[in-house]
Amino acid sequence: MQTITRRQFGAAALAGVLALAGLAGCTDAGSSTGSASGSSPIATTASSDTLRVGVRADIVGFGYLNEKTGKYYGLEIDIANELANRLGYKNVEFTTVLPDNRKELLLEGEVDALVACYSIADARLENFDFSPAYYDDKVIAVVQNSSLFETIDDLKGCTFGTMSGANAAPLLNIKLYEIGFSDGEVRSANEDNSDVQFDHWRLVQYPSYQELSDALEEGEIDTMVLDGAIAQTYMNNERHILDDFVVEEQSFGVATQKDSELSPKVADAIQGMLDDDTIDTLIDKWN
Amino acid sequence: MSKHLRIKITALLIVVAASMIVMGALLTNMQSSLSHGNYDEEMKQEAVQLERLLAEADEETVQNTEQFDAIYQSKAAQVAYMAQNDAGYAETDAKMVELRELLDVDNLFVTDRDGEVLAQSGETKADFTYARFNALRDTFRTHEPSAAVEIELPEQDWLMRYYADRIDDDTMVIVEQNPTELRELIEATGSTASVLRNISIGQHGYVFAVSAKDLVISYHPDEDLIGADAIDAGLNVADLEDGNTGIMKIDGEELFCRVMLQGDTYYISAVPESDTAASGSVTVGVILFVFFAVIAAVTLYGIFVLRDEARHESEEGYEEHYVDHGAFRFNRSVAGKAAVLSIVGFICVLVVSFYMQTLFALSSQSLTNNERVEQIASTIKRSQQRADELTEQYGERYLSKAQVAAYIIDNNPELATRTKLQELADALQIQYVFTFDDRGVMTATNSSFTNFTLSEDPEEQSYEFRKLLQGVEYLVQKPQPDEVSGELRQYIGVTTHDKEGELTGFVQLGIRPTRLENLLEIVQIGNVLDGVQAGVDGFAFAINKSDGTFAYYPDDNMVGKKATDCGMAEDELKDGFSDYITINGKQYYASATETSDYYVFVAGTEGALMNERAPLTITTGVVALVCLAIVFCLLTFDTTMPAEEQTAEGNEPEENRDNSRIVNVNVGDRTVRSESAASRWLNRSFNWDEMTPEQKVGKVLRWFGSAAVIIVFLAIIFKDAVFGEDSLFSYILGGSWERGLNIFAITASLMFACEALTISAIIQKILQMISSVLDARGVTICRLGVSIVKYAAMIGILYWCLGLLGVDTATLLASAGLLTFAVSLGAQGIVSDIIAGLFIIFEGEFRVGDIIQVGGQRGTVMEIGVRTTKINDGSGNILVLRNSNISNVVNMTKEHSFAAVEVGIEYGESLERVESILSKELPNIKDRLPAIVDGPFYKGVTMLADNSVNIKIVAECAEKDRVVLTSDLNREMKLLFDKYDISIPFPQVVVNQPIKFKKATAAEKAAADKFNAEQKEAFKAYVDENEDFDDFNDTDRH
Repeated sequence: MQTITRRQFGAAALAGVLALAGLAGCTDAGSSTGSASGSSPIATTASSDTLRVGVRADIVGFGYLNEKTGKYYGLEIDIANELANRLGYKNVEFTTVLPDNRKELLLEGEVDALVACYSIADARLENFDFSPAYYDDKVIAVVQNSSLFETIDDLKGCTFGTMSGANAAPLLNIKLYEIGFSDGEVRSANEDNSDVQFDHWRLVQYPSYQELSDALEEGEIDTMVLDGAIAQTYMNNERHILDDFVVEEQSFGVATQKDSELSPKVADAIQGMLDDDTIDTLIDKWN
Repeated sequence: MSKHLRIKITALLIVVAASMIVMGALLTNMQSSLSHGNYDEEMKQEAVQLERLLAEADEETVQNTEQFDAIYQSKAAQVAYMAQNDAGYAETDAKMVELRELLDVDNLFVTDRDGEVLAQSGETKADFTYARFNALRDTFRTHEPSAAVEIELPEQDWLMRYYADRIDDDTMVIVEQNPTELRELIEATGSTASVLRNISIGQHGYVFAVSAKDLVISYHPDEDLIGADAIDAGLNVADLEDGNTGIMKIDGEELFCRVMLQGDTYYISAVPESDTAASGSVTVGVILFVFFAVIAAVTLYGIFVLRDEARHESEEGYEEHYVDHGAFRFNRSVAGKAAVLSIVGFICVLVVSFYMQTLFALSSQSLTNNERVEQIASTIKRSQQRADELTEQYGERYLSKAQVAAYIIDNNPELATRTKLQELADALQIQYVFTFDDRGVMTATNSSFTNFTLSEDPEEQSYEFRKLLQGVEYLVQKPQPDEVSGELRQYIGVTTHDKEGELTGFVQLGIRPTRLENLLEIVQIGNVLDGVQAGVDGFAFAINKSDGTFAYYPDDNMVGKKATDCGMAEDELKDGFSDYITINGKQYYASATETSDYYVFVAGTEGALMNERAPLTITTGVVALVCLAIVFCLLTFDTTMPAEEQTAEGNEPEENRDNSRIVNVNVGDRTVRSESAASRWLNRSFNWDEMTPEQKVGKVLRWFGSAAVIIVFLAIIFKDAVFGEDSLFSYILGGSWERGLNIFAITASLMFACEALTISAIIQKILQMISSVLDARGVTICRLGVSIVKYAAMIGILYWCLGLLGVDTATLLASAGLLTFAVSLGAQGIVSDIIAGLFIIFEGEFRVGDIIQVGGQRGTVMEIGVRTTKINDGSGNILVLRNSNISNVVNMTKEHSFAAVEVGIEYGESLERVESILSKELPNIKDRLPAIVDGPFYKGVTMLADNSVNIKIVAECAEKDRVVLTSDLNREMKLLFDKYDISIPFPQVVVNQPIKFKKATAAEKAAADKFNAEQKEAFKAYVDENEDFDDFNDTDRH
């Protein structure tokens, strides 16, 4: 709300007045519309009064769709609601996005913003605008206890699994190269790069986190590499995170279309939420 | 009504309404805060317990898992032992299948170090070469069976645990087993649900769990809610803070909750608000009702008096009612009675308040205790079942081990040496292995026993195993304490055979079933009852059924003592007992139930609710007093009335006030207006305005009474719909409390009375309605019916309530015969009255409305009761006759009566003239007197009397008119005679002048004496015959 300029407000007010004048004949409906648009001037500048947000449906604590109720719950859902509230939207429409399609959905304008465990990365910054980070996370490696792996060095010659579409695979390759685990050269790969052989390790990619987790359970892969936030959903007593191995620290931000009208407002709103500890409170609530 | 009065009444009504609201709010608040406080206390304690219980459950899970793993690790070890000792082992698929059957596992594999399968009993989804199974390969390093590796992939229908044991440095055996059994065990004993299921708070309170991570309800007694989103179910995220208490909503139900955060789960203790409200609202409702009745009675009385006075203002003595105090004046006439009403009402409120609080407190405690004791009983039952199951289960497990041992010995009898048996015992994870030959002589063992032969003495523990030598395949002995050490020990034997199948002896396992021992320990009564929480300070104890001693009591010193020695009564030891008990001089409120071996009690001190009674009652009383005082002041004090208004009031028209039915009677030294006798038995409804203020208040109070009775009646009928099961109400009606002089019995008696009264009132009303359309006999029968219903209801209530109050009704009924005898002696009259009444009714001697004459009294029958008959003599006097005294009745209703007059005429008068006048005039008389049905008739001369000739005139008329008509006829005759100058003789007094009489001279006196003497002498002879001579003189008077 603080971002409204005098000129915008003038336009909005004018629009409100016009709406009022146009509908002066009808009483109730007309006046309520008029006052509504008058009281939330920002709505008139957006395409509608609904903010369409792409969220995850499978990450407990961030964006989780309760099949029973058809509602989403989680930190990101609360952030999206608060964001819409601060931007003056009346409604929020959630759309489930997957790592595979979230990029397209935003580019095509199916959603106005992504609040979907979307980490801020240089490659992504070329296509999108990101708000300040609302959550800091790490990409980590999870192993089964029964494999008796304790350090990354135990995993020489082993199979690493990632989720295709996530940026864990390239980050992993870089990281393994950096720590001298591997020379980073691809020895062989299948056609869609879902099974790549490196010098001391093999990379297998799965279309979903569930399949990734199942592969780990079965033993097809020896470790899975994924975002810490997401890993929470798939952790159990039989698994642990490799202590000495962090692939990448990353931060989740709200993504909007590059240079769109919405970008600065979203950035300001998120910054506002960070400044007044709203986000901290929400993180507290969901942890 | 004056404006002044109107203002006053409005003010009063406002005060009453305000008092009701204040009282209602106060009571509801106090009640619910008290309940909440109580629950909160209980929940706090429960939270502490929960922590312990959850930890125990976790411990249980760990133990169960270890136990389960140990079994299958042992199986892997058994196969390894066979392989290492050449005891019927081969690295073939067929052998694997055989061993799988023997060991009762899901699958058996032999693999090399890398996990390549060398032999298998069946296909598996597992690829043991994966690093996933590194834990199995650990056995090569440790030389011990490996830890379990579990794979759970529900999509692939794959849930298995894997155990490995090293055979040699290159091969290992892997056991595949589905852990469903373990899962079920954990679900039953170690899961959160298994813990929470057994916790209850108050009556219907429970604990549910919400995951702190995703806010999904992980446990709730309502299975439909498990897995639901807590927020969606209505919970507010902001409420979910550790230690937070308050009203929360789940699934549309209001709950009083306390949140406890433990780990990443919120445990929420919840008590339905309806629970608190239901019982509380009955209490509050009753107190409020009584309070309302009291304050309304006082107020209405005041208003009635004031209005009454406004009408009588002009009457004499009106001003005497007032005492002036400056600008105010004090109305004495209102004050006295209003004060009495207020004080009585105040006491009523206090008593009812205290009574209801007691009832509420005790019943909720009873309900809680009952609930708890039932729970304990079922726990005991369950744990006994579990103990049996466990014993059996362990027996089976050990048998399986023994069979393996026998298999091994069969295949390689060489192994019957101390060292090899020790290895075998290790693989089997048991303590001792013994081998016996076919004569029952021990051949080898790993134990310290030597030279042991099976006993020949049937009393000895080992004797039983001789059966094995006589053809029994196996024997599982019950665990029993060891003769030497007293430790629980179990022996299992399985026969061994040589290659030809000949019996060679048997293998016996000696087991120290520590785990079983522990488990059996847990299901002991002490363990079940220890830590039972009932309310804030409740506890549980058990009494042996057989000898009446304490089997468990929180104070260890008490265990083993006789219950009756500690203050308990014999009749308290029974199923379903619920009342006060005294133990060691301390009083507890307890509930009991019966299990197969024990009476289990849950007892607690009176609790906070009971302690809070007095303050609550006093608070209620103070509020009531203040309200009553305000009303009283408003009623009695008045501003001095302006004069002009008084005159205006005086003009109020006196609406034809028929006060005939209201009479003044003297009660003590006071004049009270009362209904006249005649109108009391007539069911004419009163004109409200005619009533005195006292009557009006009486009527209003009766309305309140009836309303209360009807409400109770309806509440009883619709108890389930209104209060639900297990409510205070159902508890009282259910009658599971002790018979005797206690508050429940009294309440139930009152409730029963209400029910019976309502029903009898309804029947009476119906009968009255029927009677209004029936003829006289019908009316009479209906009246009788009403009486019978009335008495039957009374007697029924009496008997029932006596029964509830603990009087033995069977004895009562039995003594009824005796009672009847006693009564029939004492109340013989009543019996004869009743019988006479029945005869009157059924023989139809007379009916209601008849005019009868009985014993010189005459009147209209008003009512034929069971005992008495009431007759109105026509002048408003009610004659109450006992039915048995009604004899020689003249029923004067059936035909017309005659009014007869007799008139005397002078002898000198011409009879013919009179008769001719009569013939002319009699028709005229009929015209003048409409009561005459026929006549008048001239009946001729009835007597020629001393002074007159009497003639008689009769006229036919209705009996009720007879008296009046007779008088009228007399009048007519007099007028008639006057008109025609016919004189009616009447006694005339003739006054004479006094005469001076001469005195006798002396000579005359002497002559007279002489004459008398002569006469006597002359007549002497006749005296005896004519004694009565003189009597003759007086007999001819007519």
